[in-house]
Amino acid sequence: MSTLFKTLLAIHVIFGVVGVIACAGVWMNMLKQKLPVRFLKWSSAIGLVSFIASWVIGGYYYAIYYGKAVKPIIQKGQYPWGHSVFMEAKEHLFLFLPFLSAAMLVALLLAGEHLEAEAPLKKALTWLVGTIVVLGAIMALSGIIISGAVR
Amino acid sequence: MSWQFLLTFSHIIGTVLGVGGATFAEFFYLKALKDGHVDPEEGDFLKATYRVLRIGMALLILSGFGFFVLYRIGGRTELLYDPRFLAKLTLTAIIFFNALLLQIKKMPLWLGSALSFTSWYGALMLGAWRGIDASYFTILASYAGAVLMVAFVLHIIRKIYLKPIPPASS
Repeated sequence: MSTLFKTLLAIHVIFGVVGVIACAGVWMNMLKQKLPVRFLKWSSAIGLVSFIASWVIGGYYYAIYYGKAVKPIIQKGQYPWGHSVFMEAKEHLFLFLPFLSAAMLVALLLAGEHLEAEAPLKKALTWLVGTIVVLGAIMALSGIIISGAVR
Repeated sequence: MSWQFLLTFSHIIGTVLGVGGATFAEFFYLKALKDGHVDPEEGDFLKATYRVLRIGMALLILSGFGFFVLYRIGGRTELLYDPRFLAKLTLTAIIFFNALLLQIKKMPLWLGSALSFTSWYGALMLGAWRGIDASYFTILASYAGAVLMVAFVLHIIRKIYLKPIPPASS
């Protein structure tokens, strides 16, 4: 693997994990009675930017390098399901995260100040953020499983 | 300074903050309940402790994924299927979801504190015990046993420490 692809892979992972941590911060704070709205907005913005960065960099790595150099090794190795199950799932889940986190940020920007008073909206948004965190965690763990199969 | 050193250092700091935070959270909570209620000063101590715990957890997760990148780039991918590594990941997930369930009061406090305490010490132990020769399921079964044991010990400590002091007879 060239230095470029090593760097891209490292940046993809770091942005992805930062995105999940930022959204997990939003989720934990959405569960409080008194909402720290400023923190929620900033944290969700960090989450969105991180996911987009991870998306673009990971997409480039996948399109240019993974298919040619990594996928054949996994398919011929001991753990072919590393690609056929986990990468295939990741490819599709991958599409959701930036859009879901954009919806989270827009909702917080537009209705952040009224969330405490509007319980149904707060509940729906909490579910949305929870979905983002769980999907993000699944993506991160899938990444570990896929990487572990490269041998 | 190598990446390996930097990551190990951050990982140790994260674990120290987490283990220390979990210990002090239990200690402060017990002390706060001695008089039957949590007053503002005690509440501030608890909030600060929980903040330290969260910082520890973020450091642990970031440095943990840093190790993942290092193993992948360095071609040591067999370490990613190491039972010790997978068990540590599981404990980290348990710590996070336990904190979340405690926040929304869906986790009984006796179990929540036992889970937090055991998971943090378990992660520390797995990190320190490099030569451990056990499968993922053996490690998790031992962990489940340890959670029950810690819950029992914490229950006894609470019972002894929070026992009302009888009024002095004249």
